Amino acid sequence: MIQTSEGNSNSGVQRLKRIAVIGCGSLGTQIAIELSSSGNIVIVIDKDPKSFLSLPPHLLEASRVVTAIGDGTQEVSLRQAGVQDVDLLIAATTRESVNLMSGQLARHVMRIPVVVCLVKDSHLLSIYENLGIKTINPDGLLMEAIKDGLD
Amino acid sequence: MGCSWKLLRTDWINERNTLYAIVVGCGTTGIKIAEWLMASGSEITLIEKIVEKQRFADNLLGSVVVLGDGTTIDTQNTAGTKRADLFIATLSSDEDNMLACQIAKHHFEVDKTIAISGNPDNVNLLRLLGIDIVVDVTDLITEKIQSLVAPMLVEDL
Repeated sequence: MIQTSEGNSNSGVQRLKRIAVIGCGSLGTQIAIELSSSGNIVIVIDKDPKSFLSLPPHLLEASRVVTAIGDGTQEVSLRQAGVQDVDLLIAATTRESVNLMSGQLARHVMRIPVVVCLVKDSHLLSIYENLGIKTINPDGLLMEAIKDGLD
Repeated sequence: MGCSWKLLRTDWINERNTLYAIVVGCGTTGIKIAEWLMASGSEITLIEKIVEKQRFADNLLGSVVVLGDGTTIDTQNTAGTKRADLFIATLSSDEDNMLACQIAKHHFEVDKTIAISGNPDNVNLLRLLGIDIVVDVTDLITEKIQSLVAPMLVEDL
């Protein structure tokens, strides 16, 4: 569901993608590690500086992962973190409403090309899609995995 | 409460000629608004997540409070948001108010949504995101205090 860097075998030149992640919980940390390891620059934003302790130090030292303390629902915080020119923003906090608010702020005010929100309540998916925001739904993914396992 | 039908715009009102309003949050604001709407002859349902608050408001207003999280489709469905003419979110978190109003607007197609916002930085964003009326609490309080303090300043001169 999340498109990282497209495998470009013809030319060695490949533009680094800049990715913003809101919320440095377990999912946010995982996304930051995965996407930065595959060669992207990841900006992680969280209100709580302690949450950044879960990020591996070698990625931080290599500036693959950049941390910023701030509120993901505030445009000022996002701009301070340098989010205005990212290619992709992922809202992965534990609160549904915070994800939707930062997602809409990023998509409709800051005009970020691709915005993905973590959505726990599958009933809300159609609302997000109507608002032009892509979604990750853990329940849906789990169901797909179970179906794949049955086949 | 000194309110009358004339205060409410008639084009929101459904065929039974009563306005049906949903109020999310049984804080002091939510209860005040609900009392005012009831006194004006409207039909209302409140939504409250905390059991104690739900019981208190239910006893006070007479079995009109649904227990549940107003930012979910399930609870809003139980409250009958589908046939509501007006939806008011009075929670303390701006994000929750936005989510509640957007569910009401986009999923249940409520005509008018109102959200309360405690953070002036969010007011424009909420307006931009399609909430019909955003009440800026900080601005109201500031204005009130200014209007009370301004005459004192003049007297001092």
